[in-house]
Amino acid sequence: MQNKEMITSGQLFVMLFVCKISSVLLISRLSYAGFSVWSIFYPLLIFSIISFVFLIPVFSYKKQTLQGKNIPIGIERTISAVYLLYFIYISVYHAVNYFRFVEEMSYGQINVFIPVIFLFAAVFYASVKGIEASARFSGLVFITILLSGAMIFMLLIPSFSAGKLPSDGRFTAASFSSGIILNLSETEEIAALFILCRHAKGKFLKCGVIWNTMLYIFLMLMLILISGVSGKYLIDMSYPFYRVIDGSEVLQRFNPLFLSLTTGALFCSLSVDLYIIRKLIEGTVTDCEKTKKIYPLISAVILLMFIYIISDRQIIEVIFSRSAGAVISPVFAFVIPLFITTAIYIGKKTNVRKLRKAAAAIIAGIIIIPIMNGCSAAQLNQRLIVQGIGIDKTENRYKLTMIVLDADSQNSENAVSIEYTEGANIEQGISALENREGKKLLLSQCLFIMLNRDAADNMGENMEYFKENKEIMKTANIMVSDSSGETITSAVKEMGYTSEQINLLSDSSAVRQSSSHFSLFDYRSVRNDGQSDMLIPYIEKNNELHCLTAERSYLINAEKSKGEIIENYLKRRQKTLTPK
Amino acid sequence: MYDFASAIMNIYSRKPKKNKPEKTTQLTKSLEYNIEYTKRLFSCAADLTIHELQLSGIRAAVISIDNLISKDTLAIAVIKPLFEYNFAGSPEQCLTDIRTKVLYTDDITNISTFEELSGLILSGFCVIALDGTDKMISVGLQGFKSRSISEPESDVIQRGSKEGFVETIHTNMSMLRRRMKSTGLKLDIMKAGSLSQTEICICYLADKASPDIVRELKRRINKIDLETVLAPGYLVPYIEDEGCISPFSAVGITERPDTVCGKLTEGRIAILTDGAPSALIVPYLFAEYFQTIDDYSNRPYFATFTRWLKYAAFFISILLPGIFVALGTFDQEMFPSLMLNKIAGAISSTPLSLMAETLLIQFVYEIMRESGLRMPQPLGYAVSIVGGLVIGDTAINAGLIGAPTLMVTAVAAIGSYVIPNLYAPSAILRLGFTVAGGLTGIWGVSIMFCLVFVNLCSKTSFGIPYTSPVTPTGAAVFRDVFVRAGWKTLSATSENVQNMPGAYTDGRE
Repeated sequence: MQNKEMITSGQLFVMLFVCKISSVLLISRLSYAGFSVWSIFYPLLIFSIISFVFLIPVFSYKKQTLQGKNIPIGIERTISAVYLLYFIYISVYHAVNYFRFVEEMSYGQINVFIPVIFLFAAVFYASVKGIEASARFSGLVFITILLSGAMIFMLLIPSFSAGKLPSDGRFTAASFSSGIILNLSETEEIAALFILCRHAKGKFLKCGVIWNTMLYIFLMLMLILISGVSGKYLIDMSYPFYRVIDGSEVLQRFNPLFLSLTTGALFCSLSVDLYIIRKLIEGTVTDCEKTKKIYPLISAVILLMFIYIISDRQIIEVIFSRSAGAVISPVFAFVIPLFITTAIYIGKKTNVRKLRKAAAAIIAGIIIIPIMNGCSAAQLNQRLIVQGIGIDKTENRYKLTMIVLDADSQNSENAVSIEYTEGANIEQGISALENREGKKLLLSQCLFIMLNRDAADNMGENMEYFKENKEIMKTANIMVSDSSGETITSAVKEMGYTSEQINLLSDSSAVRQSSSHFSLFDYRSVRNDGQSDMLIPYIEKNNELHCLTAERSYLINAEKSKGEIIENYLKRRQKTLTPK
Repeated sequence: MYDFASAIMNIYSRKPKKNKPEKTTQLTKSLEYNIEYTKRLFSCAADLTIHELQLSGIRAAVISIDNLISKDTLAIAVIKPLFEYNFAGSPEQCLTDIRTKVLYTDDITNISTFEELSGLILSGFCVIALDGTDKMISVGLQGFKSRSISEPESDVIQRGSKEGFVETIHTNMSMLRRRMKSTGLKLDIMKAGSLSQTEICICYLADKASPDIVRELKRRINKIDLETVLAPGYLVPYIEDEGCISPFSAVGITERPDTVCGKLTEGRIAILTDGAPSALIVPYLFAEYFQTIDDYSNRPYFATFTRWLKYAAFFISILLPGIFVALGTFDQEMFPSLMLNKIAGAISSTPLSLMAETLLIQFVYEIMRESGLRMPQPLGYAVSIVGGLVIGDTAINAGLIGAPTLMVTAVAAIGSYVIPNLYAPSAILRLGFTVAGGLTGIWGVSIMFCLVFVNLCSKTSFGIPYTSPVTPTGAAVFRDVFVRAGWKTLSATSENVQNMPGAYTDGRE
């Protein structure tokens, strides 16, 4: 009596709107933008036009399918298999995003895996129920988003002030291109549209244009609203919308509503991903019975991949980075749809074999381009692998001490060395070392950044380089020492410490109970709200025991040093806070 | 152990029953044989009555079941005219004369098999048999005792008719006819239950209901392979759309003829079951749970207000204990300071965790509700007193349970009474949300909420999305769902159920 595989175009675009909102506004790479509001706003404005160009192949493909023109089954299978891999990647990305969101918002009170696995089970159920169920549920979430959005808007608008919006915005060509890359990395909804367009009926083109226009207008308005209410909040802040809500006295009581809405929106997003995966398996094997067997298996693989990936944060930073997204997503959102629609268009003039060759060439290109990109990069033996950095600020000069692994050195004993450099700022210091050694630094293996007191007191200025650096892992720990250069040198040369052992000091210190190790990731999260303290492990050289110890913490609040904490921070904060 | 497991597997394997081919036995020309056969068919039936007569020299018999027919009518409308008439000709001719010239009733049917004979006798007909013919005729003389029409107990309204359905299907049909004086009102009788042969009446308005849905409903009823149908609830699993296990039902139930008439005008179909004072309604959408006949008697603004109250009450009844446990366990900062102090004080003075305490109170409450429901009325009051005063008050004073938890559970329970038809899903979901909130905080509640609503969204009622017109969204949402428009607006725009957005019937899509 009913076909559960077809929805109206309106439903499809509402569903994709909810997906996009969940991925862009709530939890995504965009939320971690490290620029001013304008450096996100202008690229968004430009990309709202570019996205129409991205949509053209999809619209064209939809029109061709309506006319009964299709690509040969062999090519369709290949394309489905490639898209299958992509959507597995995207669904893991969304699951990881949700994991990070729950992790950050639950303050370690629950085992984060339980809600994520619970969500996964629920999403699996939704995807089995068909696209109609997901579309209807998205409709409900959409209505709830609109109602809550209206409520939040009404409550926030009195706090809005145009004066809080940055006037200059440090708007540069670099920040603009970075913003465009950011937007390019968030085009997975167009790829989803390409797959789902065959399941939509009604006015596809009209709904698509309205969707794209409304989406970007909505996003731009939200950016202005958030910045106008919270001032500097948007700069380098995770979950900006949540922070604005949490910062409002009235709205913070609605905190659970926001968390639930986010969960609901991400639920839609993941259920669409899994549904697409199901359809792509069907497209690849072209057998419903086989799909029924393979689909749960692939879902389980996605879950296992997620669990594996989540256990290593460094992998997350690499495979789900902006640059990776900016290369992969446009291929699936634009390049392949463009190829297919062109292939169908010229299909009459050419034969299937030629089409197959062209498909093979494109797929080979997709694989080779990133590899070629890797080839142009410096090889490992041409790089200095930094394992730890010490930064000492003296007046207006920076002295950098680095534990470096030289891959060229055949002798493993001499492989680790200490390198010194200096400059007017960190960037200059690093450039000087690179020029001197003729090798580029590789910061991805850097485990810690140790600062002296002066450098720690200017944390904002000093961390700018690392914050913007795409290579360094955000899990690198930050530590403070009286003289970081001396501490590192003596630790490695006199005491025989490895960089891993130095890094472990921040984990095993006595202050661990009160302040966990403080990473670049933590720094980004708490930097701008002015409310949270940065409690950074304080490393000291114990001459009597001939070792390094970390029994104190260094307290920084709102970029200012507040002193040291000797004992348990939570119990005796007032008593043991010693003035600097 | 293996046998036990395989026995359980067999129960849930849902193997289709093998229908025995229907066996029919033709009547014979010998009255003696026919009577003997009937007696054997009804052996050990003390209420079988066979009245043997001589009609102008022809042997005859009147067969009936005592107390199923009206004896007075039998004597006046059947026996007396039979004796007064002078029969001539063959037995077949006599039978024709009886039907056309003798009897004063019009509910007469020809019988040619013993199966028809037994079916009609058991339905309150008397059967006239003559010697020398293999045909009989039955006369409808139903006269069994039935409950008189009264106000329904579980479907109470403030204003409007106080009439409710009764157990007799024909009385119920007449109640609909009285309210809907239209030739378009169709009342199709079908039978379900291989043993009970329960009469089922499908009621719909021909120019409003979708022919697709009517056809599909009849097909589903014909497929029912039950032995007995004693209540409408027996039919529900066979009538609902397949493929979605859900706590919510896509078949509505009401005890009010006026509600049924209202639904019929929107293109819905009512199913009356003999022996049950209620009607099933299909297609039934989720939004309909929140609509009552009172809404249409009150002013629109007040009806809209009460409708929103019902939505709020439903969400409170399923979510409140779960959110309370989630916030109390994981997100305590959400409570205002004063409330937090009170809750913290209550929790610290009780031995159980917040989740265990909430579950325990809900469990005890369900026990009290169930016992109050089944007990004789006077004992029911005693249960209320014991539950309310002794258990509630004493347990708090003894420090076994906290007052905030008790209050939360009580508010949720009261909320669930606002929509009595949703009580069963509310009770189960309340427990589910409490466990989810207690284990994973607000995240668990949110995901559980998504799961429940995806389940709702995936459900259909005869091809119409269960959540329509909220999602897929249609203009009807501002007509009679979120807002109850005035009568002038409602009458100006007729909205049949098959035209709801997303419907796969002969409606729009």
